[in-house]
Amino acid sequence: MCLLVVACGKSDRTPTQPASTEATAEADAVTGSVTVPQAVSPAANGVIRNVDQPVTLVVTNAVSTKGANAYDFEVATDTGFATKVATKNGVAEGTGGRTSVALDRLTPNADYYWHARAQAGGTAGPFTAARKFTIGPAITIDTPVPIGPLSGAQTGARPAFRVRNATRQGPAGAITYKFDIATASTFNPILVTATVNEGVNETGFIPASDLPINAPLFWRATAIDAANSVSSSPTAAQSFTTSLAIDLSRVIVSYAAAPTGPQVAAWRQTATIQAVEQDGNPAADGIMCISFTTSDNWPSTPFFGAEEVQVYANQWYFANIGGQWYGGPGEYLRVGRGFCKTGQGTNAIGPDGGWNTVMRSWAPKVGELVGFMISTPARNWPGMRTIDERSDIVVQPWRDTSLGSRIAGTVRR
Amino acid sequence: MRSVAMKSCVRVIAAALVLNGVARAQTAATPATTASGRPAADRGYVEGVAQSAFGNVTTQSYGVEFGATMRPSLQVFGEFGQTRDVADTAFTNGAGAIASALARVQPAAVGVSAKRPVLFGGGGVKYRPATALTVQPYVLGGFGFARVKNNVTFTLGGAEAAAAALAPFVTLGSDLSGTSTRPLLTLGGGARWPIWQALMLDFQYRFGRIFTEEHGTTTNRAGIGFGVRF
Repeated sequence: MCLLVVACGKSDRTPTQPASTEATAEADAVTGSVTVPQAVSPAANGVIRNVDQPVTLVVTNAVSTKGANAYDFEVATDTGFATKVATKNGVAEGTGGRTSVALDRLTPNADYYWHARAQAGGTAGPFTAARKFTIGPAITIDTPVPIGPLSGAQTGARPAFRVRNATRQGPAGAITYKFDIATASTFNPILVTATVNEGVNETGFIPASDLPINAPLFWRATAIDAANSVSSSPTAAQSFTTSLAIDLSRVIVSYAAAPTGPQVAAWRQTATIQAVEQDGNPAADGIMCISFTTSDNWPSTPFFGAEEVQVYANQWYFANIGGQWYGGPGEYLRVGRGFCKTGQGTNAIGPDGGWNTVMRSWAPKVGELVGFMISTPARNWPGMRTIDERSDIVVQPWRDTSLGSRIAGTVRR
Repeated sequence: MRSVAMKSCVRVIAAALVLNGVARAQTAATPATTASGRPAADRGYVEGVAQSAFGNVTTQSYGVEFGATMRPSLQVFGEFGQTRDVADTAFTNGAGAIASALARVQPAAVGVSAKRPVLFGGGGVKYRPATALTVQPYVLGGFGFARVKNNVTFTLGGAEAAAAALAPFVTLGSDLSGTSTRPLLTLGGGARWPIWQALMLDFQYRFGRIFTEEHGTTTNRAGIGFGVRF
C-alpha cells in the first residue's frame, strides 16, 4: 500500500491562470509568478531624432517570486506586433531597478510600437502595453562649395572666406558654418575657427585678427545643423597665401594734421594704383612714382593759397613697425607734374615726412613690405581739403639699388 | 490525464484498505457481541473530527475518520478531511511581493489574500496497547494524499480582481495558483474515551507532512473526535 501511495504521489498541478505557453516548465516544477515591467522610455508618442539612434528601450524591473528576471523587448510597426522589426530576448536584468536595451538602427521617418516583458521561474510575465514612438526623418547636409579664396589664391591678412550654402535633404534646422583655418592641410592644429550663421545663398567669414603673413594656409568649412546634430562633410581644403595687407581703419596715422585711419578708410575709393616704382638710393634722389587712374575728377586746390601751385593729391606711405601699420600722407602731387616725387630715400622717407612717433625714424629695409596709396589732399587736412577720395593700397617690397635691389632699368620719371 | 490517474490511485488504495480490513475481520477477529445484544464492542468505529491546525498559520481542520479492528491491539483506519490553510512563509511572501508590485503598476489600491486549503485522504495503521484503563491510548501512522490549492486573491480598489483584470499586470505561476495533489505522511496519537454505550470521544494529535514540490509542508493538528464504535 505504501508503495502504491508513493508511486501515485504525482502532481496534477493545474494553475488557475496558466503560465504562458512560451515559458515551458517541467510539469512537476513549480513556476514563479511575474509582474509586468513598466515602460520608461522612449516616452509614449515620443519623437526621436534620427540622429539620436540607436534607440534605447528602458523599463523598470518586474517583480518575480522565483528566479532571476530576463527581459524580452519587441518593436513592431503595428500595435498588434504582427510585423516585428526588432526583437531582443533574454536581456539580463539591469541594476538600479531598471533594464535597458539598445536597438539596432531603425528606418527613419516611421512610427514604431514597443513592449517588453519579464521571464522568471519558467513563467513569462505579461507584456507592457504597447507604446508608440516615432523616428524622425533623416537629414542630410551636402558639403558646401568654396567660393573663395580658392586654392592658389593670394590674400590679405584677413581675407573673406566664402562658401555657397549647402543643400540639404529633410527637415533641417538652422544651419551654421564652421570655418577652420590652419597652417597644414591636416588641420591639426587649427589656427582659427569660427562658426557663423548661414547667409543668403552664401556664407562668409572674415577673421577678426590678422592671419600669419606670407605663410601658406589652408581653410575649410563645414555646414552644421546643430539642432539635429547633423553636419556636412568639410569642404576640400583650400590652400592660400597671405600677403601683407593693410586695413586702413586700423592704421595709426602718424601725422598730426591728417585724417585718422578710420576716417580715410571711409573715403570713397575712386582711384586705382597702376604701379609703384621707387628706389631708396640717394643717388636716384629717392624717387617715388605711384601711378594711378581715377574714375572721378579729382579737383585741384592752391598749395597753401598759392594759386599758381595747384595740388590735387598726396602720396601715402605705410610702414609695418612691430606688427602695427603706421602711415600718413607724404608728398603732394601737382597738376600736370606726373606721379613721381623725390626725396623718399631709404634713410630720408621717415624724417622727410614730418611723421610723429615711431615712423619718424623709420628707415625701410630692402625687401620690407611697404604700403602705398594716393588720396585727394590729406596732408594738413582739413586744410586744402577737396572731395576726400582715395585709391586702393598696394603693398610691395622696398627697393634700394644702393643696397642691392635690382630694378629693371631705371625708375620711369 | 494526470488527474484521472490520481483519482484511480486513490480508489485503488481505498479499496485495498477496505478489503484488507474485511479479510482480516473475517479470519482473525473474534465476535465481540455483548450479551445484551449491543453492537460489537470494538469491531470498528467511525467518528467526526474537529481540530485546530498549527503551522505557519493557525487554522481549523475537520473531517471523518473510520477504522476496523484487525487485532485487539491493531486497527486499520482511513480518514478524509480538510485543513483550511497550510500556507507557508514562502507562499505568503510571494503573494505579498506580487501585491506590492501591483500597487506600483496600476493605480487602484491593492489587497491580497493568500491561503492554501488542503483536502486530504488516506489510511494507515493504529496501534492500541493493552491497558486496564477506561481510556484507550493509541499511536498511528499512515499515508495518503493531500490536494493543495493555492488560493491567492487580489483586490483592486476593494473589489476582487478577476483573472482578466490581473492579466495585464501579472502572470501567476504555479507557486501562487492552481492545485496539486501530493503524498501525505501522517503520524499521530491520541486516547479514546468511551462515554456512553457505543459513543466515544477521541482526543487526538496528528502530524502531517505534505510532500509538496521543492520543500514540504508540515501540519500539526490537535482536536477531538466524536464517534461510535460498532
